Amino acid sequence: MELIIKAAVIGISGAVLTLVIKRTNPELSTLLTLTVCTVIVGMSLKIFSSITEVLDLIELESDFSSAYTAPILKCVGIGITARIGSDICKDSGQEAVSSGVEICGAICALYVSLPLIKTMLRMIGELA
Amino acid sequence: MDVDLIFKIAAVGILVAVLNILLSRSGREDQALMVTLAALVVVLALVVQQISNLFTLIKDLFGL
Repeated sequence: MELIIKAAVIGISGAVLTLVIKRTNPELSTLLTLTVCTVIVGMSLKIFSSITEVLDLIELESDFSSAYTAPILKCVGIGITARIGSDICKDSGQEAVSSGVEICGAICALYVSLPLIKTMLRMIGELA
Repeated sequence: MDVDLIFKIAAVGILVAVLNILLSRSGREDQALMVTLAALVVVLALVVQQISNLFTLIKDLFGL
């Protein structure tokens, strides 16, 4: 697994370079942090497609419909986006903006999992 | 997703820091501010495309 080594090396070099330019240009250092995040997450998402393949296989082999797996995947995507966005805001000292992004992420995750909750409630109703 | 971009941004940052000090020492604070702003715009233009790529990738991959 050379990906994690690559990610660690890129992260450490990025952090050191950020420290170098932070004293004189704090705004450029925020952009540099964002770029390092983008590169590392982009690299790791490239192997994520194999996980989606396994999920497709599970759907094919069993009668597990994609209505159950789709909200999980969407929640993971929302979580990654909200986390990166809020952490970048926090790094540049904007705690309020970062809380806003986090709250929006939580609400979006709740919204995409509504069909799942509805299905569960229906299932309980059928049992009773 | 290229690592070159990270080094490019760091190089721009260091160059601008040096230019900033040079211009400030020679009493041209206004030009120093202009150089900083220009560097910010250039780096922003470089980064925006990559960020857009990342969010498109996340959108496609997770079906958002």
